[in-house]
Amino acid sequence: MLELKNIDSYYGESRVIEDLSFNVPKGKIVGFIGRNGVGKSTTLKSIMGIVKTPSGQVIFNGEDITKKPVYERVKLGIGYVPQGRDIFPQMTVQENLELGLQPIGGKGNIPDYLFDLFPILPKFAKRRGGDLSGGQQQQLAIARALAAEPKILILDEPTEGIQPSIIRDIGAAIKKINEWKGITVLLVEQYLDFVLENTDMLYVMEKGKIIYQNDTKAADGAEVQRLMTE
Amino acid sequence: MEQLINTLFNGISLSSIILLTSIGLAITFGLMKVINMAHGEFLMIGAYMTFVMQQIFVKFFPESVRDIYYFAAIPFAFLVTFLLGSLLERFVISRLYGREIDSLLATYGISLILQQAARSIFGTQGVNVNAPSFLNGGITIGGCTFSYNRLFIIFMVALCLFLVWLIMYKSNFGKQMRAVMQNRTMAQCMGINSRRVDNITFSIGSGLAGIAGCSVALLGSIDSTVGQSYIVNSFMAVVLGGVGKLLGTVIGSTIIGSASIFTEHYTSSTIAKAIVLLIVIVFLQKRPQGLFVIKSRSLDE
Ligand SMILES: Nc1ncnc2c1ncn2[C@@H]1O[C@H](COP(=O)(O)OP(=O)(O)O)[C@@H](O)[C@H]1O
Ligand SMILES: [Mg+2]
Repeated sequence: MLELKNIDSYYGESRVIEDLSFNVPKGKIVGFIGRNGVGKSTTLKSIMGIVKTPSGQVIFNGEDITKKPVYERVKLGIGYVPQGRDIFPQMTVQENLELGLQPIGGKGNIPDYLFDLFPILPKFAKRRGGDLSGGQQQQLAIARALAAEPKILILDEPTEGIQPSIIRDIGAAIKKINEWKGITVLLVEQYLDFVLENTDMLYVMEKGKIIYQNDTKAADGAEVQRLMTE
Repeated sequence: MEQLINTLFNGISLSSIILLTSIGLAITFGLMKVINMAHGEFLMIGAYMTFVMQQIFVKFFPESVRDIYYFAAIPFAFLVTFLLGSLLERFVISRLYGREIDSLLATYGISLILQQAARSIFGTQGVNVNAPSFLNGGITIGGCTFSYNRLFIIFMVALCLFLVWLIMYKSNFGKQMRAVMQNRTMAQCMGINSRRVDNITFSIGSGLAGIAGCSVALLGSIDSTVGQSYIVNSFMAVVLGGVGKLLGTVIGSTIIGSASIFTEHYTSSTIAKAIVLLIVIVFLQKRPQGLFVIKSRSLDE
């Protein structure tokens, strides 16, 4: 479904990712885990086209999208929830969700199942996005990324700074959208238990490189923890 | 008292022209952080297009329908300035993206070129358009005269303002535009082609300046510097009103327009300009962000 081949990524002159390759199989929930600052967000930004990748390839659905601008990648069916959520704070919840329909031309309706998954959204439809709590904003950002029914959902630390009960809801929602809609998920996290609980396979990243990969079932939590902290 | 009302009325009609030019400046600055020094020349082009349309009607149409020229001139001026704005954005502004000083200088150069072009085509002497006959005269209420052409200008600006509001807050394009203003990268991650949004927004702003030019044509003679005489006030209105909020621009324009007319009434026109500028400077000392602010990531950076 999504494949990175020998990707290098830069911020200005400094190279953050070097010769990175990995694969996200269709229909799976894939965890991507690593400490703060190892380059997880940069990897996702490379997939989206937000940071420049002067060498290597990003392949989506068999198509090389390395040269495409951000908005065209999104239109091909990549839904993205950035770290920090980045909802539009001045706009209402409803307008934020409608922006999620832009990949399909801003027309059509927000799928009903999203309101079942995140019942606070219809309730707060008229509120400004900036007035929601962190957990509510996270749910809004996920629903927004799903509004146009993407083929893959990319999440950057959705549990960061969020209370445990909402973390559980988000975990359940990720599994349901994968099960019900067959949407592939790439989940970047630092929170290991959340990844062990909700994914099919996982990668561990250290200093811009992948140092471990396994099926989640077969992975030894203690070993992954050790790899992450050392 | 009557004099006061007359002055106020003139102030409002001037404010409305300033408003029409300010909107374009404000939204392009809010969206792209670009100050278009050639914006006043779009007003000038709009005024000249009104003149051109009148010449066409004089030449090709019978006397009885000539007055309609003005209604043809408005969309014509809009279209010409919209297209020129689109070209300017596409071939100059978008290439200087993130280089504010360079785009300032480039658009200043273009403003000089456009003025020179106007002199070459239309001569150094000012040209005049005849207001359509139904706009001659005015209504007199208790000693105050409200001229039809100024009333018409106010009405036209109100209509344009309403259309801009519809576009910004009721259309899908407006939603895209506000999203790009608030967070450009995230807007792109919503599948929005931000360069297209920039281009269309810039073109609409230019087109509005063109319509402002149609209004200006009703009030006096048109020459190559007509844009300059209005644009300074528009810049001040934008600065005063704060960037990116329609309401701020409306209020900023009203203050600048009224202040100009009032001080001009009691002093001379040059001193009036100096006084208005002074007021703006003093105000900005107290409130550098303008009357209203939109919290925008692109502006925080
Ligand atoms: N906008 C930026 N400009 C320069 N360096 C950055 C920028 N964003 C991140 N970095 C650097 O890139 C490295 C990887 O960052 P990031 O991908 O955000 O890590 P993670 O998401 O794994 O915490 C860090 O060393 C960080 O300091
Ligand atoms: Mg990160």
